[in-house]
Amino acid sequence: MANPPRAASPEVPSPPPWWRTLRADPPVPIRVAIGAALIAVILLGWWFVTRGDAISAIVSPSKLPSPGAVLRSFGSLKDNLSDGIIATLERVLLGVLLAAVIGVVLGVFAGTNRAVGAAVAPLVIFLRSIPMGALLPLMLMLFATGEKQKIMFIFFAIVPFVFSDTVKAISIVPERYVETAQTLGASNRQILRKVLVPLALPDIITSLRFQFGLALGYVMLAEAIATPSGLGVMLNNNERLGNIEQNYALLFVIALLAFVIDFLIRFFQRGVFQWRRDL
Amino acid sequence: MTDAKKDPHPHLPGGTGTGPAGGAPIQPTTPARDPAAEAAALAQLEADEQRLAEVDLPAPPPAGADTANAAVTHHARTAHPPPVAPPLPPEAVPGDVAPQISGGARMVPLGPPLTKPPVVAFDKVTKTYGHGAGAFTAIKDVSFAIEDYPGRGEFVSILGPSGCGKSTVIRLIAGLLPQFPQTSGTVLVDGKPIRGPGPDRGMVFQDYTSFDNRSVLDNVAFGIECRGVERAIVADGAVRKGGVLTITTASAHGWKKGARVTLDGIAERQLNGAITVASVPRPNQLAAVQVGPELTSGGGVVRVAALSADDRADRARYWIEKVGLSVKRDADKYPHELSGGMRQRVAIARTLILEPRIILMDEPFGALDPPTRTRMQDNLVELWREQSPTIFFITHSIEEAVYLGDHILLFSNSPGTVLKTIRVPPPDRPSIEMQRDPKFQAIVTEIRDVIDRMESSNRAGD
Repeated sequence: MANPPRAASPEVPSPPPWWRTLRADPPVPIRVAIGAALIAVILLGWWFVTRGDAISAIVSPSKLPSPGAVLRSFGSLKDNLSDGIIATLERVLLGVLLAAVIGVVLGVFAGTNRAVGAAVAPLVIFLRSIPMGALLPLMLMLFATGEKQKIMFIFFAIVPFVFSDTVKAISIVPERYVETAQTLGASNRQILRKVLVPLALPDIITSLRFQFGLALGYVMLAEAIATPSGLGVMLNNNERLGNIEQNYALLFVIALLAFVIDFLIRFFQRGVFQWRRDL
Repeated sequence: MTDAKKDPHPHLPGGTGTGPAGGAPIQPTTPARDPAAEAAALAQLEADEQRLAEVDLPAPPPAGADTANAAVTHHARTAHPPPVAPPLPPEAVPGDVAPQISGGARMVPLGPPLTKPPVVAFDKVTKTYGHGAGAFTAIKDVSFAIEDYPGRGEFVSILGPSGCGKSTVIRLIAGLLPQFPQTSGTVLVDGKPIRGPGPDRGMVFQDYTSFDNRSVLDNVAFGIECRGVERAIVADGAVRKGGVLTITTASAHGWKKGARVTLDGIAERQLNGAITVASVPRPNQLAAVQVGPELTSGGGVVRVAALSADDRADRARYWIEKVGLSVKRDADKYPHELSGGMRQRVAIARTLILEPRIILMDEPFGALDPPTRTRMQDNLVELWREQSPTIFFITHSIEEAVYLGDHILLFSNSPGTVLKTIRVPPPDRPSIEMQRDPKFQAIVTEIRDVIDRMESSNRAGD
């Protein structure tokens, strides 16, 4: 017997549409279209307010150049862009790596040995409470203006966060796992190595991913002062030269860079920690 | 190698026979090893093993296994530590081996078998948390003793209302904080106080505790991976007779034929040294071919070398199949791909692979749906029969407690005390069948009445 078509049967109610359901996702094509539409509206607005020459444009080109001018400026930007990206990424990478090694090791230690945690806690709270900008002059005084100053600035800015995220990641591994391991004969060291660290690792990597994104922001600050090359230097030089088109173009480049790096780390995380479906 | 060549004594005339099959006559030996005698002994061993397998522990039992028989063996098991391993009819075991199995205190000469300390003994155990006005007493004056029956552990169901301290009891045995240590009283395992958690007391929790980052195989192998190092298993005694050396150990162990083990600290010094396991008459016995004069000795230890990664995986695969999972389908899965029942099977396999003497189960099937639960119960009974550990099993289900247990500890309301110790027939049929039995239902009803009375008197007191 064939079922009667759904629509023909008045007794079968149809589900409410997504726009009347709280927290319901619209279908994918609609989602993409909505996102694209907003970008189009912004671009259109941008084009509209910058249309015409310097006098007739609604917003002066010295404040907001036209989309076309920004696009054209990529041509002159290309020459030293890759050098800038490499120089900047190198600093960020070194700073984050240093923070990861020290923050994660100390965090694992403090997460498992609460006495160490208690000892380090005040220092970490102090470091976390310092605004990033306030650290910069001190870093200049301590490390002069070389590469070391920038790397140490990134390091000090993010290490307290890496540390406390690691402590947190270790401590949210349910106690049951530790107890199970104990009744299976694992020693404290084995529990640390085979249970706590592997189970906390995905969260630790997530923390590093976020901190990497923030570090990319901090490095721009550090590069504002006496630096031979880097994205931050380029931004500053453009400012002095009044080359505003290039600065807009650079913003796109930096945003894209941050997005790509975040995506890559996430891709790696999903591949390595397949047992965690929430990454 | 046998120790025959070190043996200065002439052999006694053998062939007294270790069973109906008849022992091979033992030639008075020359110092060199005697292949003929060894071959004969090996053949004898195999015959014995076959015979034992027929008599011993039918697992799973035929569906129609008569209750009367089960009741008798049950009785025999639970009266006093019997001189002979109980599941064997006396004629199947040569009498002079028997005292070895019962063990006695180590190194004590043969004689009337000494009673071993109970596997687990609680004496007036109280656990209080906090101090002063905020103090809370979880259990109060809990006393019970679970006796040690060689070759067969008891199945103890712990039943009682929520919050009556059932978990406190088994976590105390496990040595887990903060329940451990008790506030007052003594908790002894094998006559010794507990110092903390250990692999001799495996634990299965209600919540799923499979390590999420490990495959099923690696989860099951976790314990043996941690063990890593060589282990020493306490031996109660050794008997050499008819060219066969039989060692009885204090606990069951997955002895494998062909495995090399080392005897150490055995009273009869000549027995010390490496031997090859030729047969495994019982889970707590191993036998090796060794031609030499007949002798009986006190215990020592059997040393087992660490397992290689391949051996560990082999062992894990064996246990994965044992608990009803499929190696082919499930071994490489991760916990998030498993159902609740499968996760508990992994947890059970992970515990059993260590062959613990005591298994503590805290409502392991509590979160499972009824059909899965029934299947798990049957599987557990099967495994228990084979491995014969002492099992403590917490449950809210009276049916489950009555079906699985030989012993039910009925706990009162908070602060928990042992209200009643009830002996029930051990499971002799699949769960579903047994639960249809009117006798079974009568026991369940009786216990339910006791609990109802307890709860109503409690409400009256409110």
